[in-house]
Amino acid sequence: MKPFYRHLKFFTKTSELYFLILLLLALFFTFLQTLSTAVNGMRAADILAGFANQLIFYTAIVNLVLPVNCQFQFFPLVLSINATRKHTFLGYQWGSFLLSLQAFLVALILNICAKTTFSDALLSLVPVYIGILFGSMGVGGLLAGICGHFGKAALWIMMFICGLVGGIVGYTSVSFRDLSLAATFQIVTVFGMDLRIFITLLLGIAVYLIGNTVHYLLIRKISVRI
Amino acid sequence: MNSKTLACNGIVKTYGKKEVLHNIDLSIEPSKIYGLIGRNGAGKTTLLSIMTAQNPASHGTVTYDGMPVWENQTALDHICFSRELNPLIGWGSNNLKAKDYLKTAAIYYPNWDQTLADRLIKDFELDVKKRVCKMSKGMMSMVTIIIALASKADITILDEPVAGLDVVTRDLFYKELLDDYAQTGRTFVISTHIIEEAADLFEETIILKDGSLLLKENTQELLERAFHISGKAEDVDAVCAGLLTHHTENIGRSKGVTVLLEPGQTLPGNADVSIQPVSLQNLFVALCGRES
Repeated sequence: MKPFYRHLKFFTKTSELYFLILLLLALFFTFLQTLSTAVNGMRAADILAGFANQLIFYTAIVNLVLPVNCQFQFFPLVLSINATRKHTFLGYQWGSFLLSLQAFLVALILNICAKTTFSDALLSLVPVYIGILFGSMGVGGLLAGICGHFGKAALWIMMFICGLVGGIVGYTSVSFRDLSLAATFQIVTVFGMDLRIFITLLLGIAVYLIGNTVHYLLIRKISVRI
Repeated sequence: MNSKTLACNGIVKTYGKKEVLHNIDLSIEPSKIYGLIGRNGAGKTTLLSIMTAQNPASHGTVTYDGMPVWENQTALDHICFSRELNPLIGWGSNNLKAKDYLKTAAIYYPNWDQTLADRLIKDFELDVKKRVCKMSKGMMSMVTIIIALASKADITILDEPVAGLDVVTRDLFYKELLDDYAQTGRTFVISTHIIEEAADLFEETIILKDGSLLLKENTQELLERAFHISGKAEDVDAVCAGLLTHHTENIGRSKGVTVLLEPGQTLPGNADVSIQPVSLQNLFVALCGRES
C-alpha cells in the first residue's frame, strides 16, 4: 500500500466512526426536540430540517473537539509506527473533511426534502453550512496545534482565546443591535447571497486556512510521547 | 535482506539548556542483533527516538541507506521502533484497545505479518479486547513485542521489551526473536536493563553513559578483553600497573578491580592474583557504576 493510502484508510475509518456517533447524537436531540414541541403539532418537514441543523451543529462541535483528540490519541499512535508528520497531518485533514462532507450532504438532502427548493438551499443553507463547518475545523485545528505544542500551558492559552472570542462576539452583537445595522445587512447581497451569509462563508474559509496552517507549523517538529 | 545501514552523525539533543546527548556517531549495520545498554537517564530512548524520527535532533543527521530519515517515508518504511508504553498515561493512544492498536500497526507497516501477529497473541495469551492503559506492564510489553516482530521491518528497535514480563514469557520472546533472526536476518536493536539474560543475544554491544557513546563493539571481543582481578592489594596493583582499571573494591587488605584491556594488550603472567572473566552485566557495572 502506498504510504499516503495508509493514512486515507486509517483516517477514513476513524471519520466513519465519528460520523456514526454524530448521526446518533443528532437523532437523539431531534427526538427530544420533537417530544418537547409535540403538543404544538410539529410537521414532518420541520423535524427533518431540525435534524439537519442538529447534525451540522454537532458536526461543528466535533470539529472543535476532534482535532485535539487526534492530537493526543491518533497523532502519537500513527507517528510512533513511523508515519511522517506531513502525511499524518494530511490524513487527519482528509478524515476531518470527510466527516464534515458527510454531515453536509445529509443535512442538505434533508433540507431539500423538507421544505426548501434547491436554489434556496444553494443560496442560503449551503454557504452557511460550509462557513460553519470550515470555521469550526479551523478553530479546532488551532486549538489542537496549541495543545500539541504547549502541553499543559495550552489550557491557559485556550481559556484566553475563548474569552477573547466570546468578548468580541458579545461586543459586536451588542454594537450591531444598538446601531440597528442588522436591517442594512439584510438587504445587501453578494452574488445573490445575503451579505451576512457571504461573510460567514468567507470567514469560515479564512479561519480554516489560518487555523490549520498554524496547526501544521506547530506540530511539524513534534516529539512522540506515548 | 538488503545491506543498508542506519547511521547517526553528530547527534546532539538539548532540552532547554540541558544537553542530554553529546555528539553521537553510531552506525547500525544490517543482519546483527545489537544490545543498547545504559543507566537510567543515559539517553537510550532519546537516541532511539531520534534514530527513528520520532524526536527531532537538535544537531546532526540520521540516515538510512544514505537517505535522511526525518520525514522520509521511504526510509521509515524499513524501520520499526517499538516503544515502551507508559503505564502512567491513561489517555491518548494508550486508551485504545490492544486490537485497535495492532490493527493500526497492520495498516502502517508495509511488511506486516498478520499470521505471526495472531500466533504471538495466542502464544502470549494476550487479551486484545483490553484497553492498553488497563493492561499490566507485562501485557503492555507483549503488545510492543508483537508489533516489533510482526512489523518485519529491516531494522527493528525494541525499547525495554521485557519490562514486566514473567520469566516464561521472556523465554518465549527470546526464542521468537532468535527464530525470526535466523529466518530473516533482519537487524534488531534491543535496549534493556536485564543485561544478564539478554547478553547472549547481543552480537554487538553499545553502551551509553551520561549521553555519550562509551563503546560499540562486538560482544565476544569485548568480553575477551575484560577481566576481574582480585587478591592482595599490592599484588593487584602490580598486575594492573599501566592498565585501565574500573570499579575498584577494597575489602580489608584485599582488592578487586575490573580491567578492560586495549586491543592487543595482554595481562602480565605469573602473578599471585585471581583473574576471572567478566560477564557483560558486571563489565557494564564496572564501566558505568560509581567507584566504591
